[in-house]
Amino acid sequence: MIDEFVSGFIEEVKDLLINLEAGLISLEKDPENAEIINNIFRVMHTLKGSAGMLGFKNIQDLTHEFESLYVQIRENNIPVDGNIIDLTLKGKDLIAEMLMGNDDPDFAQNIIALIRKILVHEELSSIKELSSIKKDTGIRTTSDAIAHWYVLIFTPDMAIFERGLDPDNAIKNIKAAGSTYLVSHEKKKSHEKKKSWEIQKSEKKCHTTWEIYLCSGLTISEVEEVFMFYDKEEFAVYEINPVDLNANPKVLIHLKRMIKKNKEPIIHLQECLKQLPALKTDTPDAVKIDEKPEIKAHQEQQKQNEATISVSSHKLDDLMNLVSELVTETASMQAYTAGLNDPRLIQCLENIEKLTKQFRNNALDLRMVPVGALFNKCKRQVRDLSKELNKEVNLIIEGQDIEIDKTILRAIESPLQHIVRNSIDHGIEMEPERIQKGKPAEGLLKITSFYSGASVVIQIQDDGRGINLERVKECAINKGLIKIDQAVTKEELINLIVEPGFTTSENISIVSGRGVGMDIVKKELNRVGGGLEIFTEKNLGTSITMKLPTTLTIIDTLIINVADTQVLIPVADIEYCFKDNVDKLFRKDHKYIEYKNNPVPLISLREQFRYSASDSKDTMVIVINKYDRKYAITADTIIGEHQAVIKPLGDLFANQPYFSGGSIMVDGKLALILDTNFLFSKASIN
Amino acid sequence: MEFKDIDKKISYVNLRIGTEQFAISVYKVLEIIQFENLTHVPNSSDFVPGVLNFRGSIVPVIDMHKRFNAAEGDNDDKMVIVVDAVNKDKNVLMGLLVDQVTDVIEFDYKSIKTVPELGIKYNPEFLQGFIEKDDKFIMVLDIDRVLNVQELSEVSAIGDN
Repeated sequence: MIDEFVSGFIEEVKDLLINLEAGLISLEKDPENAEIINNIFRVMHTLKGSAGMLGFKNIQDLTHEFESLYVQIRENNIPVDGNIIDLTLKGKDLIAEMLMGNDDPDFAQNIIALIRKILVHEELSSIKELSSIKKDTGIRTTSDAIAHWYVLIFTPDMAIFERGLDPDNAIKNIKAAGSTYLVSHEKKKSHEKKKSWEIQKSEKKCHTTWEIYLCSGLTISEVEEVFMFYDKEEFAVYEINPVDLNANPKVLIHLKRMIKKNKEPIIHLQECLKQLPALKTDTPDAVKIDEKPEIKAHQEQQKQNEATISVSSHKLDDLMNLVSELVTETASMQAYTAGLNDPRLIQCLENIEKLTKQFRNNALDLRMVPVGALFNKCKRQVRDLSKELNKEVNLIIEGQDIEIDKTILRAIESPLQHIVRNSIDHGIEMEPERIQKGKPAEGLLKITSFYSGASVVIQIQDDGRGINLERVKECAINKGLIKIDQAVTKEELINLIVEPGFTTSENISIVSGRGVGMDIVKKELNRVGGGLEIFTEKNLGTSITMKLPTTLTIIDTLIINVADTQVLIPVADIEYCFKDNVDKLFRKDHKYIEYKNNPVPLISLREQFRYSASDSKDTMVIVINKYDRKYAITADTIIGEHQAVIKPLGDLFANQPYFSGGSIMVDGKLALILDTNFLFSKASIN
Repeated sequence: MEFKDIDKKISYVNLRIGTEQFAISVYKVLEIIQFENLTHVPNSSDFVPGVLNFRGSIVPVIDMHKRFNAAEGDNDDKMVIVVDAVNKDKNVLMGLLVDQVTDVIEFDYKSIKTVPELGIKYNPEFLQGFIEKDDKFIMVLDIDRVLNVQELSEVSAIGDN
C-alpha cells in the first residue's frame, strides 16, 4: 500500500513541477503577477507537505526554504528578479532529480544558502556561481528508464513448431528490446550430425536452446511477456547485477546445466556480458542504485508505461492494418447487401461501419502526440541559453496542436534542441551588433509546425546573421572536403554543414559542442524517414526545415480522377474548385487562368501524367493555395472526400516526385496522394 | 538465414516467366495472389506496372518479363508472388508479376549447378544457379539481387524524364 502512495505522490509531483516551471517562465515576463507568485508558493507548500509525509526529507527541506522565500515575495518584501527565477528553476530541477533518487546534498545546500542570502537582502552577484558548482548540461533529456541486465534461458520444446510458434519471433522481439548477445546450443544425439536452424525449421523439430544476454530498459515482467505463449519450462528470465554476478545464484545453477564444457558459470557469464554491444541510443546509460525500493518500483511502473508505448507501436501497426482491412470489408459487405433491401441488415452494417471507423481513429490517436509538448521544452531551453549567452531572444511558437507519431517525436527531440542551440549561439548576434545592423535588440526565434502534403514540417527560423558561408568554405578547404579553387554553389556549401566533424567555431563553445551537431541531426531525421532543408541569407537569418513523415497521419483529402488514376489532394491545400470548358482553358499558349482578378498558373494533370487528352469537353479545375502561393490543376472528375491513412509508397518510388504517398480506399484499391509542393516547380516553368 | 547443410532438401516455388522456369525459395515467399487491382503510378518505369494493396501495405509489383527480357504471355491468369526481399539490411516487400506458378519443388543446395557465363539473355547475377529436373532446366533466382531497389528505382527515375 505504501507503494501506491509513493506512486501517486510521484505522479502528483511531476505535474506540479511542470506547472512550476511554466509558472516561473511566465513570472519572468510578468514579475509582479500576484497570481503566479501565489501559485508558486502553493506548489512549494504542497510539495513540502507530501514530501514530509513520505519520507523525502531532502525535498521537504528544500521546499521549506523556497516556501519561506516566496512568502516574502508574496508580501512584496522581496522583488522578483532574474536571479530568483534562475534559482527556483534550478531548485525545481534538483527536486526532479531527488524524486528519482538522485540526491545531491551539496547542491541542495548551495541553493539553500543562496535563498537565505536573498532573504536577508544580501546582494547576489549572479546565480552563475551556482552553475559552476554543478555541471550544467543544459536540457537533459531526463528519462525514467534504467538499464537492466538479464540472462534469458530459452529452451523451446522440440515440437514447438507444431504449436504454431516460431522461436525466431521471440528472439526477434527480445532483440528489439535492447542490446543482446546470443549463445545457441544444438542438442544432438551422439551419432547424428548437428542440424542447422534452417533444417530444424523445415523438419519442424527444434533442437536448439539459447542463452540470451539482454541489456534493456524493460522490466522483467515485460521481458517475460515476450514468451507469453511458451510454457513455463521453456523459458527462464533472470535479472543479474553485472557488478556482483553472484547476486543471483539461480542463474549460475541454470547456466551450469546448459553450458557443455566444464566452464565456471561465472566466467562464462562474464565473457558473455562483455559481448553485449553498447546500449542503443534510446536506452539510457545511467544506472543508479536506488536507495528507496518504492521509488524503484514506481520507476518500474513508469518504465512500464513508457516502454509499453514503444513495444505496442508494432502492435498498433498491425492493429491499424487489421482495422483498415475491416473497414474495407465492411464497405464491400454494404455494397453486396444493398441490393437485398433488408433495413435491419443495413442498419446493423451502418453501426458496424461507424464502430470500425471509431476503432481506427482511436488506434491512430494512441500513437499521436501534439508537437506542443516538445516546443514547451524549447521555451525553457531558450530561456536558459539566452541567459547564458547574454542575448535577448523572443521565441514565437506556432502550430503546437499538430500531431505526430510518438516515436518520431522522440527522435526529433535532440535534433530540435541542437538546432535551437545553434540558432541562438551562432545565429543571433549580440545586441550591439544587432542595433548597428538596424535590427531590433531582441533576437527572433520562430518555431513553427504545419502540414505540408503528407508530411509534418517543423521549421526553426532566426533573424540572425545567417550561416557564414565564407567560413564554411574555408573550413571545408582546411578539412580537405573541397579543393582551393573548386567552384562551389551556395547549396553545396550548405550541404557541407551536415558533413561529420564540421565546425567553424574556433572556440568550441560549451553550448553547441563540437561539430558533431548537424550531421547527427540529419542522420536522426533520415532514420525516421525525414529530411532536412537549410536556407540562409547573410545578415537576414537562417531557416532550418525538418520534414517528417507521418506514415500514420490521416489527412482529409479530395478524391479526383485523372484518366484511370485516382488521386488524392489534401483538402487543406484546396482553395476553390470549379468546372470549365477544356478548349476555353487551354487555348492560349501560356497556361494561366484568371482567378479573383489575378493570373494563376494552370497545370494539366493528364499532361503531367502522360495521358492523352480527354474526350470530354469539360474538366474540373482546382485552385491550390499553399502559403498564399497559388496554382491550378485540372482533373477529369471530382469524386468526393476521403479520410486518407497515408501509406508510404516505398523506396522504389523514392525518385518519383509527384506523389508523397498512397492510401487504401474503401473498396480496397489504392489512390495516390498528390505532392502539392512539387507542382509549384512545374507551375513556375510556365 | 543461410543454410549450411547442403544435403537437406529445401522447398522452392516453381514459376514460369515467358518460356523459362524459375525457382524461388519458399522462405522468401509470403503469398501468391491473382494479378488484379493494380494501381498504376504515373511516370513510373516499365519495370513497375503498378502497386497493390497487400495486407494493408503498398507493395510495388515488378514485371518479371521486363526484368528477364522475356516475351509476355497472353494468359489471363497471371500471378503475383509477394516476396520478402532484403535490401541494404532492410526487409522490403515486393510483388513479382509472373506468367504462371506451376508447383512447389524440393531440392537440396548441392544440386544447384553454376550457370555458364554465356548463353542466357539476362544478367547471370540474378541467379544462384540452375537445377535439372525431369529433363528441364530451372533457374534458381537470387531474389535479393533481382529486386535491387537501387537499380529498379534508378530505372524508375529515367522513366520520369
